[in-house]
Amino acid sequence: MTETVAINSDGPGIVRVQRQTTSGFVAMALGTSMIAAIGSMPWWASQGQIRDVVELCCYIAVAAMWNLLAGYAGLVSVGQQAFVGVAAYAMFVMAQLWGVNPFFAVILAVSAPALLAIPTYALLHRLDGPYFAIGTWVIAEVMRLATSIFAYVNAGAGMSLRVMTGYSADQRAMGVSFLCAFMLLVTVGGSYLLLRSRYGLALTAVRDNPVAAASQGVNVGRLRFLIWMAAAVGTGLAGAVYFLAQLRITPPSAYDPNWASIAIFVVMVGGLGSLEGVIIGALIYFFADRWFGEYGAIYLVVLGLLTLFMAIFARGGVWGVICKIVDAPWFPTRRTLLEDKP
Amino acid sequence: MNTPLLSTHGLVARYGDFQALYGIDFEIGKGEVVALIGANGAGKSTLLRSIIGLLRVAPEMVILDGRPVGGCRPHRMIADGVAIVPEGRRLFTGMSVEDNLRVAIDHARVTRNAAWTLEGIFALFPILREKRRVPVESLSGGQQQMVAIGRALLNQPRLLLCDEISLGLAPKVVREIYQSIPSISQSGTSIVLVEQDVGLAKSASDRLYCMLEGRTTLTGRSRDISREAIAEAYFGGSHALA
Amino acid sequence: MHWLDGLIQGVLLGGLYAQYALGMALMFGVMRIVNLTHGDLMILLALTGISLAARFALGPWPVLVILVVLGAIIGLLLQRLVLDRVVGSDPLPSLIATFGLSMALQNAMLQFWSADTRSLGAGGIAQASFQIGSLFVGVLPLIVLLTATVLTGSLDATLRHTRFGRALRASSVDVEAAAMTGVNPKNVYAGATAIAVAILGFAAVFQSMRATVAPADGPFQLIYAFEAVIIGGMGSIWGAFLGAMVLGISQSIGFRIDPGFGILAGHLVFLLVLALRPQGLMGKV
Repeated sequence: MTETVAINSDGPGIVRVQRQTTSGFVAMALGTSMIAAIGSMPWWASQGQIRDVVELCCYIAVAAMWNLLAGYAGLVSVGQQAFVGVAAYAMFVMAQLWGVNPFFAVILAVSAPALLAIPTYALLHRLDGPYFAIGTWVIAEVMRLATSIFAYVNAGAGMSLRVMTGYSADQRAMGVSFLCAFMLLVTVGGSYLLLRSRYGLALTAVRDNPVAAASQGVNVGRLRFLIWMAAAVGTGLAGAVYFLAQLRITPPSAYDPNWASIAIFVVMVGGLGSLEGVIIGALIYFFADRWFGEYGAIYLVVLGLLTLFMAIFARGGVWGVICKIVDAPWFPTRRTLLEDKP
Repeated sequence: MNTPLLSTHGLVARYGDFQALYGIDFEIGKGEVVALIGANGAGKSTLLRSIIGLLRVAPEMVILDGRPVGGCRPHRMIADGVAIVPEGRRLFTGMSVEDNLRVAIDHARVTRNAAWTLEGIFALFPILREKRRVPVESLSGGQQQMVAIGRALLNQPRLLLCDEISLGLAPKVVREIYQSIPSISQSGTSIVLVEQDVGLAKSASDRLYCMLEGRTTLTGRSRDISREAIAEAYFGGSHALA
Repeated sequence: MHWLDGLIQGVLLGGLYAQYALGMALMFGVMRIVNLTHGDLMILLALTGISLAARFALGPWPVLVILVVLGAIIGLLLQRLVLDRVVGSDPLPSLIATFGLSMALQNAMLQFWSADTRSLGAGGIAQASFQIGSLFVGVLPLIVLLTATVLTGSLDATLRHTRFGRALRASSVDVEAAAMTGVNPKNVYAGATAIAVAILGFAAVFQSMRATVAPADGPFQLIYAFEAVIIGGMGSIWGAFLGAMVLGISQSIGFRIDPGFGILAGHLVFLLVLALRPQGLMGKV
């Protein structure tokens, strides 16, 4: 896939821009078949496998959104659980209290994090860097505490998705699998398209130097808000899907700070600012959790120290190390100029 | 000349992949005033930054009192008697004039029988006495430059590096500031003046070095060097003025 | 009387929050270094103190001395081993590094001390109180408030009038310029972090005397300290004290409206300040 663009009137005239690579084609084909496989899980996977895959997909989605925020918009959030929780609760309210079809409610529920994103950004955008981060955490705490005293959603006792008993196990599996595939398409595919669009170039510029980007005509504030909004919606979708599979929700589980921990661990270990890193990181986290989760606290100590280690010694994460060895991006977002030899 | 106070030998400096200096040999004796001239990007500030220890260089590239000191951290260099008036002044905003000066007094090379005192600085720049309690950012550019010079002097230097102290100031203020140079030099302090204004540099210094693209292209006694020679060294041979 | 009592209890609670907030005001407000382990270090000191008191039958005051010294050492190590390596113009590495360390610390404490809540025996002083009119004021909370006031005054004076304070303020404004004026920023930062964590030693003792501590409590203390610093205004030590008072009063009054609303009220006041006066109550524009 190459585009032909006139770059410069007194240069060679016309230069071709390469945007796709062989590894990218292979990854695209694999990715598409993965999403198809996930959507068709009820026909080949067991209940347990479906549960595992849904969980993994939720990690990928939440981490992909955090990667957009921290890796491109320079917005470090440790309060993404606010959007997970508010979307999940919105879905429970719509399905359980208003009688909306629960699978449809998952899609509708993302309006809640989208709404929440507006006032939170208005409040927090004045805080930069670390101040912003802790500010997001306060928002998540406010949401958790407010939900805990909100009688309409059964306050601290939480809710159960009893309407799901109206569907057979097969129907539930089909709905969840389809929504899961849709979620990956929206979050990972959406990130990829965004980064390849002209917004992607602007985002890369903002990440590297916000002041210079602003002087080149990039509206940094608006761009950051759009990313904040997009990440809220994507994270909320993951929350709604996750709790649709859980069937039960309480304020501490919905607004669990662990969502932020997972996102940070996945992105920092996998590689900040790359979609490949998100997928690698999510796989590492998922399997580490399966194999070492039984060690409980000690396992989390190791996870924490590993994050610390990555921040000090390997900022590019695992994907950064791989890139040093072989240049084969799965999600190529670069533009490479090709000079035509006459 | 006896052993110089400070000298550099084949000094090479780089910012990442970009090499900024290609083997600079420079020296300054006790009590001397040496000017460093050259166009923007010639490497003058980089040379000062390498000497003061903000850029990592090999030990033997900078010799102070016959000892290799290249790559020493800035606070070690201050303790050894090198002080700097940094480009752009770099004052501590939010702090008063006096507190800015006190940071230097706190970390001076010598504390007993110091050559420079707060009173001495106020005698040199009387306006600062009036403004001592005022936050530095409310001062005019010239007054801020005086604080920056006073701050460096209160480090009690044997060698004072001045990076573009006339930049952005009105001619009258520049004259006022340059009038303080002889009295600083009389106290035995050697001075390196990085300066864009060639005339000013020539008249205020004993010797000068001209730099071009990371190399020294001319050196000699300031009063012996012709303007034509400077022009050629300043712009490179091909651009020499007719 | 109900509300006056709420106000007084709020001020007394603010005394405790001020002790969390002072170290944060120094690191976050003045040095602009983010340390997400702030609350966890306080809990670590508190649990260590409780264990030491039990093991060697120590009273609270010897424990206080030990924890302040231990805090200073921990602060020094934290700066040298972690923060020095990650602090820079990009805030992300220090945020992530201390985030990871916080996670490791919390779980290590959970493993070592279990999830139980613990407290430090304070002897008779815990129950002692005196009466003003129809209001009761506890002796221990009053000691906490007085200690907080003295600590705030000392820290503020140290920053204003000492060699160390000037060097720290200078380094916070422009670390390179400070180095060019003879300051060794690494030593100054190590000293400042040592002071910040040493102050947490006071907070640790009083927290475990007044209430309870558990390994997972750290993040909450971190948020309170952060809110106090922002409410008061970045860079102002007395501002952090004032912010802690505002937070304490908001929580105490909120608690009297509805027990579930106490902590939420504190957060809401914080967000209100952020919306109406983002530079904080004592911050410069």
